[in-house]
Amino acid sequence: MIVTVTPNPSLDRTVEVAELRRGEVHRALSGRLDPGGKGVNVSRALTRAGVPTLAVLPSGRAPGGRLQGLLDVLGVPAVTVPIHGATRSNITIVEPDGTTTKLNEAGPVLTVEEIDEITEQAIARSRDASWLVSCGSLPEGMPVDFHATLVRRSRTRTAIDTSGAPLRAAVAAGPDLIKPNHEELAELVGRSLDSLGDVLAAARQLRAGGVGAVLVSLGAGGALLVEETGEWHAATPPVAVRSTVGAGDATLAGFLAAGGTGPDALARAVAYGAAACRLPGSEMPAPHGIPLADVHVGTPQTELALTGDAA
Amino acid sequence: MTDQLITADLVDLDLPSTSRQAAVQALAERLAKAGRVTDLAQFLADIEAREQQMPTGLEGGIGIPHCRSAAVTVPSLAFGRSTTGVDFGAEDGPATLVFMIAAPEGGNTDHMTVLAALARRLVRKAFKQELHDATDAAAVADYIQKEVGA
Repeated sequence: MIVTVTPNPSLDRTVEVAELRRGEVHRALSGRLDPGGKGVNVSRALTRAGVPTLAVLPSGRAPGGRLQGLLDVLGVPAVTVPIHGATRSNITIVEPDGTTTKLNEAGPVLTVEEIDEITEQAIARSRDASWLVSCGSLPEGMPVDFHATLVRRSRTRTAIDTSGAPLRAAVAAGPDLIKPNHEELAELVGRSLDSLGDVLAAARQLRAGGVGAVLVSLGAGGALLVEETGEWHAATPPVAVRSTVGAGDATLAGFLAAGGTGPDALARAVAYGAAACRLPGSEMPAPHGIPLADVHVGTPQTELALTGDAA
Repeated sequence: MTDQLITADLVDLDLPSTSRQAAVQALAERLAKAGRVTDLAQFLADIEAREQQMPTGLEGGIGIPHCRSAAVTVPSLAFGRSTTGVDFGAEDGPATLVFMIAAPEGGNTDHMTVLAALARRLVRKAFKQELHDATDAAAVADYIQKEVGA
């Protein structure tokens, strides 16, 4: 069982219009409603992979109810903590030429009691779990050490996927696994990481600081894993990309579904990320769509350029 | 890295383009002739099986037929250029630049992780333009090896 925590989930509505014009009434060509949030995405991917999971998330007012309903339809088991504020609703407007306009709500302000309840539920529910995975941004008013507190209190292995100050705080608490992307890792160590060697050095630095394992998602560059037993880089031939939304979440889910350690789990992580890129929106891949044979795992080639014109 | 992924004899600047199979066959034969593929029929079957699973065409006129195969002795990249284009299943049309990636079954595939570099090059206009404008196979092999090889 893998327990995920999403402190700031969302109800994501995607509307397609012929052309967006300010101040006018538009007739939508299509519309869809998706559950949003990194931990929620990880649980969705695990559910599709047949791995037992439980999503812990706050749920407020009508949007919270709709979000719960969507998770029910997808068969994702969830524990929702009732909150007074409304779960945020995000609107994405897509035009036929690919132009995407996003309108994101700030999200609810949670009370101290509500935050405590999410923490208590996460700790209690993950007591016998193999992983406690806490992901994403924090809603207004939530202390930056939310993820860090879970890491300190958890009795099981913890994986953290977030950015900025919450990631910095979580890293200081010594999680078993973090999954930053290239930019998040660069921000965390405070320098640009232009080559795979630079990324490797940053990951080693974090391990030396107390993080158990570092899984860095590198977009088209695949992913790098640095852990106790070794260091590996995995990549696939270039794939046709429809949407990179949720690809990092799929990467983490694939890694955990395959045991959460070692080169085989890294290969699965990269296969999941590539598969998610081929799917629209934040749709999570199913096991039959995972091109595992496409993934190549090897020793990190430190001179491989990752940014700039040389990349 | 000492081993070359691609050499001049693995470059075809006038790729047979009557069908995807013809294009794939031409590049595969180059790999076989170079001793990088031992069993041509097996290799072609593995390439086709992968293509059937999911087309390897990318937007912008790119085809990337590839497979992991017991018929491959050493990680290799073959490149073909087509003026008319070859259909690799991309939504926006046929491929004029075809990269064939051959990886050995199991074992060490350190070389193949440099494929990550190929993805980044392919979105760069200058990289594709260089390949479109090139007139010399050896220069193309050197250029790709330099750009993609780590």
